[in-house]
Order: sequence, then C-alpha cells, then structure tokens
Amino acid sequence: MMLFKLAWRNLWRSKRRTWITISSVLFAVLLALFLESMDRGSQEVMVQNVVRYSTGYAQLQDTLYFDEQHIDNAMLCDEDCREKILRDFPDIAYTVPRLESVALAAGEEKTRVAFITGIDFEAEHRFNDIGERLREGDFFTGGEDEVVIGKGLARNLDLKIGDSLVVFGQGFQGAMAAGKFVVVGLVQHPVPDLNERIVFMPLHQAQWLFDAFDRVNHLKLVPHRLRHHQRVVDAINANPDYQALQAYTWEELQPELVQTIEFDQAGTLMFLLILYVVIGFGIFGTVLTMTLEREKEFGVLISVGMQRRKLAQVVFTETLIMNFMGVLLGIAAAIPVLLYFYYNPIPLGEGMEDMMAEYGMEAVLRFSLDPQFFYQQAIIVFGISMAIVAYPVIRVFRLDVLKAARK
Amino acid sequence: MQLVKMAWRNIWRNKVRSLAVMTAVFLGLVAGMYSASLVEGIMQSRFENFIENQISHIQLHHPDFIRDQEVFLTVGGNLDNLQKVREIPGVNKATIRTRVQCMIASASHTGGVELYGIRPNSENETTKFARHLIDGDYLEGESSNGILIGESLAEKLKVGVGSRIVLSYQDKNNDLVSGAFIVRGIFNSGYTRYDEMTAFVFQEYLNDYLGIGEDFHELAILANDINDLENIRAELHQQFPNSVVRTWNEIEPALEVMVTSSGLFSYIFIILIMIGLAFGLLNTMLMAVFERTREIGMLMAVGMSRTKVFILIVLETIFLSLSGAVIGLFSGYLLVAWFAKHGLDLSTFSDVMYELGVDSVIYPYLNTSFPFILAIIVVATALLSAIYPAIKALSLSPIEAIRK
Repeated sequence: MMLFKLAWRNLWRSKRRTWITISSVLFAVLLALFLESMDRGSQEVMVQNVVRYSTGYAQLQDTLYFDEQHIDNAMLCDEDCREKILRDFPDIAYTVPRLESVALAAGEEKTRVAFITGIDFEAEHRFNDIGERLREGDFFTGGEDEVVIGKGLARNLDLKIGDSLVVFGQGFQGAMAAGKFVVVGLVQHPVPDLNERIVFMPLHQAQWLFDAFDRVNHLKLVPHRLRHHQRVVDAINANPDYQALQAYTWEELQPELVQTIEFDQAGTLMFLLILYVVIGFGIFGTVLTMTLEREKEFGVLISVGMQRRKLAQVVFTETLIMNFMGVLLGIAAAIPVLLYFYYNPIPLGEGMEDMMAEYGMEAVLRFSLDPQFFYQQAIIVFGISMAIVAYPVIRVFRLDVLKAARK
Repeated sequence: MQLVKMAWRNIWRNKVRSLAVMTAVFLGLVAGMYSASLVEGIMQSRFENFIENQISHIQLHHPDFIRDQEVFLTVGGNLDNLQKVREIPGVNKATIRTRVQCMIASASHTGGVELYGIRPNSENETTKFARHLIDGDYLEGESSNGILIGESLAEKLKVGVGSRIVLSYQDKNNDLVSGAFIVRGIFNSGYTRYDEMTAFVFQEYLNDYLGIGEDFHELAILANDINDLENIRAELHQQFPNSVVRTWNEIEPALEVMVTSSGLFSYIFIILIMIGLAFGLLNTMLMAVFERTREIGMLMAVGMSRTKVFILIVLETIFLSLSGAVIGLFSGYLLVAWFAKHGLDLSTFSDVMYELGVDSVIYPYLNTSFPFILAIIVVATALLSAIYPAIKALSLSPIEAIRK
C-alpha cells in the first residue's frame, strides 16, 4: 500500500510527463481497436451477406441430407414440429423452413432450369428481408397456385405479372412434379445467379408440387443472439428426440467462407503486428525519456539508502498505473470513435453504390462493435507496454549511483 | 545553417531515444510498404487469374445473347473466322464457344447446368482449363459425345469417368431435345458452385444437336496487353458487325469494386501507421522540449529569437523522422524489389488461395509513385507533429525556465 501511495504521488509530481506516457498508451489502444474494428466489421458483413441468402447461421437437416443435398432426403417437419423446436430450445427465436429442388420452368415459348423454392414468407422475410427485394407485384396475394420469380428469370422467359409459368421436374422420391402457376410478383434477388433461376412459392404449395407433404429440405434456426448459433446446434445434436436430424452451423456448411475469413484474419494480423511495433516504439520513446530524466532522482534515492528492489517496485507500480489508465482511457476514447464509424461507415467511393446494391450490399466499409476484440486488443497493448516497462526497472538495477546522482 | 547543425547535434545528444524513434519510423515504413505491396500483389494475381482463367480480356456475343441466352442468338462463324481473329494485332489467344442451358440427369439425380460446347485445343490455350482435371482426360481427338463435369456435380449425379448421362435442352427452334453423353473427365476449378453448374462438351457435337452449323455464342480473347483493348474492339466490330464486344470490366464490374476496396484498406492502414508514428514523434519531442526547458530558456535569454527556437525544434523533429524515413524507404524498396523478383511462397494457405483464385506464390507489387507519396506523407506527418512541441517551447518564459 505504501508502494502504491509513493508511486501515485510520484506520478502527479510531474503531471505532464505522466499524461504524455498515458496518452501514448491510450493512442496505441485507440489505433489497434480502430484497425480491428474495421476488419471485424467487414468480416461480419461478409458472413451476413453470404449466410443470409444461403445456409443461415444454423440449419437443421435430415442426417442424410448433408452428404446428398437432394429433395429425396427432405425431412419431415410440420407446423407442430417447428413449434416443438421453439419450445425445446428457448435460445431459438424462430425457424425458417424451405423445400427446394431444381426443375424446368417454362413460359410461353422458352424453358429454363429453375430453382423452385417453397418458403414460409413471414419467416423468410423476417430472416433476410426478401420482401424488400420485391420489384413488382406482391409476395403472394393468397390466391391459388401463385409464384414470385426472379427478375432475371422473368426476362429470360418473357414473363410479366399475371402470366403463367409451367414447372416440370422430379418430386419427392421419384414422384413426378408438374404444375401451372400464375406469376404474381417479381423479385430482384441479390445473388445474380439465383436472380436468373429463383421461383418462390408458398411452402404448402411446393409440398404439393413435389409430393412431399409436411416435408422440408432444411430448417434454418435463428437464435435470439446470432452469436449463440453454436450453442443452439450443440443443444439440438445432444437431444435424443432429434436423433434422426442433424444440426449444423454455417461454419460447417460453408467451409470455404471460413477459410476466406481465416485468410483475411491472417492479413489483418500482419497489419496489427506492424502497428504494434510502431506504437511499441512510440511508447518506448516516452518511457525512455522519462527514465533518463529521473536518473538523478534514482541515484539520489539509492545513495540515501533506498533498496534498489524497493525502488524498482515503485517504478513498476508507477508504470502499471499509467498503463492501466492508458488502456482504460484508450477504450473510453475508442468507444465514441467506433460508434461514430459504426453508424457512419466509410463509403467505398462514388459510383459503387448502384452496383453493390444489385448484390444486396452497401458500398461502405463497416465497423464492428463486438466486445470480444475490445478486451483482446486492450490486453495485447497492455502486454506490450508492460514489456517496455522492463527498461526503467532494469535501469534502476544497473544504475551507477555516483554518476547518476552527480548529473 | 547554424540552426541545422545545432538541430542535428541535438538529436545525437540522446542516442538511444533518437534511435528508438528512427527505428519506429524505419520499421513502420518498411513494414507498411511491404504489406501494402503484398496486398497489391495478391489483388494483381487474383485479378490476372480471374481474367486469364475465366472471363478473358474480351468477349463477343450476339447483341441479345447476354440478356436472353437463346440458342438461336448466335454469331456466324467458322474456323477461318477464328483464324482471322487471331491475326488482329494485339490478340494473343482466342477461342469460340456454344452455350446452352440444359437439364442433366443420371439414374439418381436431375439438375440444371450451363453446357459449354468448346474447341478443346483453343479453349485450353485461352483459359488453361485442362489443369483443373482431377480424373479422366480432357476432351481430345475427334469430336464425340464425351463430356467434362465438375467434381461436385459428379458426386450429386453419383457418376464417374465412363458413366452415361442424359442432357436435355432446347434447340434453335425451341424444341426439346435429349442426348446421351459419356463422362470423359471430372474437374475441380476451386469454385464448388461453378463446378456444380457447368459442363463441357465438343462444340461440333453440340452444334449438330442444336442445328446451328458452325455458329457460336461466345468469342473469348486473351490480349497481349490489357491496356490495348480498344483497337481489338474496333477490329472485331468490323469483322462481326452484328455483335456486341465487351471488355473485362464490362463483363465483370465486381472486379473493379474488389480492386478499389482493397486499395482503400491499404490506404487507411498506411494512414493508421502514420498516425501512430506521428504520435510517437510528438510525444518524444514534447518530452525532449520539457526535458530541456532550462537549456531553451537560456538560449532565449542570451538572445536567440523565438523564430529560431521554433525552427530549431521543427528541424530536430524533421531530422529525427527523415533519417529513419530515408533508410526505411530505401530498404523497403529493396525488400519489395527482392520479393517481387523471387516471390513469396504462401503455400500454407494454398487452399484458400486457390479458392480466391490467387497463385500460392505472391509477387508483391508496388506502384512506382508509392514511395514518393509515402515520403511526402512522412514529411507532412513530421511537420505536423513538430508544431505542437515547438509552440510549447515558444511559450516558455526565459526567466522562469532558467530558474528551474
């Protein structure tokens, strides 16, 4: 306690010096957080963009479906089953069912390969705002045999709202799937490839078409907090009631995306290391000056009988306090900055907006506020500054008392 | 001149501290240059691979084909034509393709694919496609009913080399026709989705089925120089009046987004490093000024003007940063040049690199103007971070300073 008091008083004896040292740590934290936040932000956006329109954050499938993604392996799951899942696993906010298969879709004259997708519109829209991408008509008016198709497909087949679309393909376990539908809406799907192929229809209608009653290819599980998807998947896979099914996280369903992110993180790590070196030397410069300035003081203290070990302890405590304050203040300073960029992301430049919007993305560099990296970076910078502090401590032990006191 | 000498000597009064600052500037610049050039190198590699292996520099289609993809929207052509295209100055390689949407079916699965009718030799010259084959052979010899399919599609269809599969498509009169094909080879291009949706057959064979003679849907050209595409475009317009010619950035606008956004990231990163350096510099100089309060007060007391004191501090800061910067820029340049020549082996990440369409050996690339821009930024940074300490030095009162 005595040590702490002494260190504390020493610090405020020379306010200016203390603040300069604190500010260099503060700034290091601020810069590291800024870089990491930018990187995490772009990753989050990438995951969100890919996952939203493909696998979802977590998915429940028949055990056979993973190896053979075919409608023949569709799982049995009706309304009751979806409600039961919500009851059994309170972490899940809602589920998004899909029954999908490839079939030929024909207009008046032309035929295209189409991706027939039966959806529960409310759940689907809640998950990926698909309703926002509607360009003409409605997402089902409640009538019989209605479909909403991609604008690209409509163009390829020369279809307008009100025209009829004939679908022909294979249904559940070899059943023939054929039907005639009315186009009631056109959607600009953000995935260009799907925009040329997608045919949405209400789930029950797709189940009828493919002769797959009460069946879905998979059920997307949306947890209350997206970060908890792994927990949800583990819970389901551990539950004996769901033995015939298997839940997967998006990491398992999209290994390519995981690899891309890892690659991206390796790049950022390189950038971060460089930043650490630069700011490390910055902190070193100030600590060094501080030590040199105080050599005389150290010399006098030692010569009047203060043990070197004690003195080293005081110096160590001083720097501990400064680093601690620097890190805390750095986080405090970073929060408003990152909040600002979180709500006002950096634009990618003129002319990108329209094109990125086509892909359902914004032409901006997003920032993340994931609390996890806050303390990670804080600990790293704290570690660096504590390592630098070794210098004055060593200096105290090596000090030539006579020379120093005479300065 | 006196001031310059003084500033230079002052720096070396505290060697360790000055060296620490210089090292920071040095490392910051070397590492900053290196990583920026690495990012640029990866982008370049990705960019070039994407163009050379996938879209080529220039594509030519029937004006309505891109939108409608109808079988009858062909461009008239034969082998003589392809020969003529190759003779256009600036054209390196050229190939023609027939494209049709079709349903592909085996005993166990039915799916949709985009079928390409290719001329195996010129296709491989243009896109080096044969290297993606993982099983069986590339299309070779006489035109036949051989077909190449992607690995992921083969798994879905549960077929292997030698299996028979049935394709159904519309011919030029929109009549549905079906044909049996034998799997000759299986490829993996690194893009699972592409592999699942694409198949290749002999163009001659497919054209017979479609009833389009020697016509084609797509002409792809690899040019010698990416900056010399307009001439080729003009020539092509003459040879194929009823067609639309698109260059790589018109075919794949996302490619430009990719290049721009990665450039932006490097840029922000360099700025972050500079802010870090500036702050280190500022703090060090601030401390140096406070440490020498007495000395500066004395200088003023014996008659040195405030302007000169100001200049002295600014000069010290600039010397401090520039001596690190000059060595840093020079070493950074050498480092980048060495790796640009020998390449950086990133095989550890080869899977991802393949996925991203990047070679596993990266050749860092540095714009020639970059070191100069960097030098200007460093000087500007040094000046900015010199001003505050210099002002602090000015605000010292000589009498109080000496008394300390």
